[in-house]
Amino acid sequence: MNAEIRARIKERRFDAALDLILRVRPTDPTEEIEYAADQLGKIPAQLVSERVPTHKRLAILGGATTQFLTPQIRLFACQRGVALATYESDFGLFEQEIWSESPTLRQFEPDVIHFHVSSRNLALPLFAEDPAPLVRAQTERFVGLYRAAGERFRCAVIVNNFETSGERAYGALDALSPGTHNSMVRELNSALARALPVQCYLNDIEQLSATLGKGRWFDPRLWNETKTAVSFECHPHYADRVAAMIGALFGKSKKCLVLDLDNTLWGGVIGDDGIAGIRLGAGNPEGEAFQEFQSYLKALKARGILLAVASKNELENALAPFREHPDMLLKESDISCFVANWEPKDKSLRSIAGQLNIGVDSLVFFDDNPAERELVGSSLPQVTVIDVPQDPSAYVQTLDRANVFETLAVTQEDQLRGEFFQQNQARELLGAGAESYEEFLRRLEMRAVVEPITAANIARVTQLINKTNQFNLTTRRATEAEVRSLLDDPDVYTSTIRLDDRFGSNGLISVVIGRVHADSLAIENWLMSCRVLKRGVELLEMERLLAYCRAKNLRTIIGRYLPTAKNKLVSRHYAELGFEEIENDGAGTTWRFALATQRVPHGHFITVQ
Amino acid sequence: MPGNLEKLQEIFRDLFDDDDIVLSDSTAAKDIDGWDSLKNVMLIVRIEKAFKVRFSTGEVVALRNVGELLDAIDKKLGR
Repeated sequence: MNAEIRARIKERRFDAALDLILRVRPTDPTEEIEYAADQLGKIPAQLVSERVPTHKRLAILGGATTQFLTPQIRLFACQRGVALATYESDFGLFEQEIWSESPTLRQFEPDVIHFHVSSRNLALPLFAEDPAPLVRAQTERFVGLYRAAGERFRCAVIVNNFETSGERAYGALDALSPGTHNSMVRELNSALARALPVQCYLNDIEQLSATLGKGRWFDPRLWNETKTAVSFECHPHYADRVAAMIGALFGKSKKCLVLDLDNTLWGGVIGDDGIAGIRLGAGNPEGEAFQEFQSYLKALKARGILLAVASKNELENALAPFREHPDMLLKESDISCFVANWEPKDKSLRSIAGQLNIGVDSLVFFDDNPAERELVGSSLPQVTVIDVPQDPSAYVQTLDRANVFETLAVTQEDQLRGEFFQQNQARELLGAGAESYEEFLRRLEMRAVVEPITAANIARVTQLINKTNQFNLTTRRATEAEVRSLLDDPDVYTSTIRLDDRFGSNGLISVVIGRVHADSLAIENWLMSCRVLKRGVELLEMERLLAYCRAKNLRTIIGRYLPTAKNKLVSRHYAELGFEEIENDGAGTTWRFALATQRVPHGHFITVQ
Repeated sequence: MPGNLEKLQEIFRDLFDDDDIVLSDSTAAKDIDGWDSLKNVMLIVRIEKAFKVRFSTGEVVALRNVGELLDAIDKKLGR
C-alpha cells in the first residue's frame, strides 16, 4: 500500500493518492496507517478541501507526546468528512495553555480542543491511606480545566477519562481497597463523568485500553524514552475514536443501518429453508450468534439509529421470520424501511434513503455477501460498507469497532425516531385518502409548542443544527457552547417548534435564529427536520418572526440562502414566503421582507398551544 | 532472501519516505533527512517488528551508525 501511495504522489496523481489514503482503516498494519497519515499532509490543500467540504480547527493539548497522534486524527477525521487544521501544545503544557490563555492558541481559534491526557498526568501514589481528598483534588483540577477551556475558547472540548493500569502492586486487593491506584482512577472516572461540563465530551480510554488490552496499550519503554502514553499499535484506534467524536460534533455520523437478511440476521436462506429451517436463537451456536447480533441492533435502534432492510427475497418470505419466528428479537416495527425484491441492492439503498428522507451518505450497509458489498461500494461510494467477517460471532465486534454511529448525546427525539417513520407511513395513507392537500393537513390535527431555545432543549437544538442538511438555509453549524452563548443575548431571536399530530409526536423539529441589526432582523439559521416537510411549519415560524418584529418595531427581515450539495430543496424558501431577492454575491443569495409592504402568501393548519 | 542490510534499507525508505536511501555501515543520523529522536523511536519499533527482536530502554541511543545497528540485530538473533 505504501509503495502505491508513494508512486502516485511521485507522479503527482494526488487525487488517486488521496483515494488510497482515505481507504486505510485503523485495523490495517500500523506502518501503513502512519504512512498514509503523513502523506495526507503532502496532498495539496486545495484538493483536500474540494473532496472534504467541512473544515475545522482542532487544538491538541498534550499531557504526553502528541506528534504521533495528530496526523492520525487528521486522517480518520478526513475519512469522516472533516478536514482538520491542527495545533499542538508543547509537551506537558496542557494546563498552562488554558490558564494563561495562550495567545497562540487564542489566535488559532479552535473549533475543538482535545486534551490528550492519561493516568500518567495524575501523579497519584500507588497507595493512599486517605484516597478521597486526592480523588477530589484531581476531579476539581480536570473539571475546572475543561470548563475553562470551553468557556474561554468558546469551543467543544473532547477529554479523556483515565486508564487503569494492568499492574497490581496490591494483587487481589487492587479492586477491593479504595486506596489503590486503580481504585482511585476508577473513582475519579465516575466523578469526572458526573461532573463533566456541558460543552465537554468524554473519550472513554479506560474502556478502549481494556478492549485492546492493557499490555498492548501502554509501552513503558516508549513512555520512558519519548513520553508517549499510548503504544504505536494502539494509536490508530485512539485516533479513530476521537475522529468519530469530531465527526459527530459536525453532523457526520451515520443515521441508518441497512441490513441484509439471509445469513446476516439469521443463518440459512428463508426462501429455501423456511421458518423451521433457519438458524436463530438458543440451541444452535450459530443461531445464538445471530441473536446476539440482533440484540446489539436493537440497542442501536433504541438510541436513534434507523434500521432498514435491503434483501433479495419475496416480500412475504422476508417478513415471515419477523412475524412468526419466536427467537426473532427484531420485529417488523423496528425496521423503518423494509425493501425486499429482486432489484440490484444499490437501487434498494437509493430507495431507502429516499423514503427515509436522508442522504445516501448517511447509510451504512451490512451484508454477508461480498459481491453485494462490492456492488454497493463501487456504485454508491458515499455509503459506508462494513467489511463483514465470515463468522456471525464476530458481527457485533466488527460493527461496533467501525465507530460509525457515534453520538455525543441521546435526545428524546433519537429514541422515538424509528416510530416517527412508522407514523409517517400512517400519515401518507391518510394523504392518499384526502381530497386535497389542505384537507390532509387539516385532518392531521397538528399542534405546536413554540418556544425560544432554553437550557431544556439546547441538546436537541444543537443536534439539529449540526445534522440537518437538506432544509437548512445557511448550514451554519454550532457547538452547544456557541448555542448557549445566544441565550442571554438581548439582540438574538430564537425560536423552536415541537410538533404533534393525531399520529403522535414529531418532537422538536424546527429552529430559527436571528440577530437584530438596527431596524432589521437578520436570519442566521433557519432549519427544519425533513420529516415534517410541507406541513406548514415554516409558515408558523414566519408568523412568529413577524410578531417579534412588530413588537420590536423592526421594519425588515433579511434572509440568506447559502447553497450546498444538499440544500437545493430550500433555494426558493424565501421566495415562497414573499421575500424579494436583493443580492446574489456568488456565495449565496440575500432576501428581504419589508413588513410594511410585503405579505406572507397563505396560512397553515397548526394550532399553537 | 534479502540480507539484513537490504531489509533495514526497506524500513528506512518506507519510514523516511525516500526511495533513494542507500544504507552503508557508516550511515548515521546526520546522513538521513528527518532522522530525529521521535523518528528514531518509530524506526526501532519497526525494526523490532520486522526482525522479531527487542531492544531495551536506552540501548538504541548508544548506537552510532547503521553498522552498529546491524551488529546489534545480529547479536540479538544469536548469529
